[in-house]
Amino acid sequence: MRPTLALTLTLLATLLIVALSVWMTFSLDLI
Amino acid sequence: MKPEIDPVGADAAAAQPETAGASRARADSPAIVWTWAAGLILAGALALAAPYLVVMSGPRPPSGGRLWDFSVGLGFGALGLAALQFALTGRLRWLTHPFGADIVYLFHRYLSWAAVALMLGHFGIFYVWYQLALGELNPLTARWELTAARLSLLCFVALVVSSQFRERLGLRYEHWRYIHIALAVTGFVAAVAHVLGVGRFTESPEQRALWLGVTLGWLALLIWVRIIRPWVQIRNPWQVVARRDEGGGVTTLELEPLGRPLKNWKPGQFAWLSVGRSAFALKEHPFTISTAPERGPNLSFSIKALGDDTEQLVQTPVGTRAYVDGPYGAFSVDRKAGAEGFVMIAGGVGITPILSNLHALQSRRDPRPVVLIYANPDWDSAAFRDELQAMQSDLRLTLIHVLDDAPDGWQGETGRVDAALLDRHLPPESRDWPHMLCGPGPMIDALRAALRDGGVPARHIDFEIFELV
Repeated sequence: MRPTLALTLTLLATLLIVALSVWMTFSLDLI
Repeated sequence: MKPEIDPVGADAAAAQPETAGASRARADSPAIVWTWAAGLILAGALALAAPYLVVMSGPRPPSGGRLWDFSVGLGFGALGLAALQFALTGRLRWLTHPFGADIVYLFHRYLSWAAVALMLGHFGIFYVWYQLALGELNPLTARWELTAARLSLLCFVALVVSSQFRERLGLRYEHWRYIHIALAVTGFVAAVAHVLGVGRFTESPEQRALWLGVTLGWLALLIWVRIIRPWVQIRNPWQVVARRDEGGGVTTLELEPLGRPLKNWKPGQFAWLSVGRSAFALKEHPFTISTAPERGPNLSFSIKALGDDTEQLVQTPVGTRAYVDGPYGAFSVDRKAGAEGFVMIAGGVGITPILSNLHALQSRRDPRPVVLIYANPDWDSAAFRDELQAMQSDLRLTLIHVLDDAPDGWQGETGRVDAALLDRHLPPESRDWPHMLCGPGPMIDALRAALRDGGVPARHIDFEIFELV
């Protein structure tokens, strides 16, 4: 179970970064 | 050599101790552990989001185009992950405690793949869509901040490759550690230099504070891990006071604290051990503490000579100075609150954390049943045979030896620990007990699958990963 947590957290962290990058992209695009 | 013990031990007469409740009370509360873990995960997410929040709160630079901005975003994320890696590997007990240090190292490994993938994404977008902006490759004529980025990318790719394929590359553990630290520090410094050199997000006071904070935090961590902690270890040395042959090629080194003893450790935990060298040396290895806290303050490390540094380590003379950094890990009966019994399965030297847990249960005269399946290539490889046999008089321990290559007259189990063998020896009620596995990777993988097929919920299967690299 614990290794699954490590993999899940890695995927979530990557998704978070991609989502924040998309947010940054569209925020800068609005200027 | 012929086995002198009954391979399938009968349930020992259950001691009916008065301390059963007390031993359960030692277990870490799952609510506290999970709240702690959730707090750390939230803090990690905030740390990753911080650069974006700060960047977007200050004066925004003009957009470079959607793909350009997206690529820059990936770069920030990759740098955030790289910074986080230093915290994950800094052996900070408050950070590793709820998860277990082995899992934090596994997370570190997974996260490094993610970080490199993001870096390659960051670079790839520029390479495909904005190649002109990358300028020249020649470091003598290229813009220095882009050379820094290339150097950083190279370092991080080399980090992942050298770790993933260390054994195939023939890298010794201690050499790998030097290379790993050098590449990590160079890669990170080059990445920060790249961000500062490009200078698109460094103009506002908030942005400057962010980068200063990241750099100072990173330096503080480095100073703590590489200078302060070794210095504290030097002030609290240990001494090898006994060396015992445990059979099966395993040697136990017993260490006595000459300074402060180890505090608050749980059975099944491990520590980094450095013997006969300075605490500042990087020549240290993680080993399970094979005794129980109840038998402290001395610590025992049971080590199998495997042809590398461990060959020298097992010959350490009595009287040698040693340094101990621990405790770490969560492979402990004390993490199994409310367990009605335990299934423990060990392969070879994987017996050591299990032995520590058994020692603890024995010291506490714990009445709960334990089924131990202990697999070895042959009878002579089975370490701690006599000790395990003797434990059956104090514990409700059912001991099942499994041998690949059994001697003549052997009446016990042979071959692999598979579903049929598990079915023969595990009582139906054991499906709700914690299953603690420790052994070689392929064995653990096979066992997990067999246990799950046999109806054991994944939450009841725990294992220790002792091949950290």
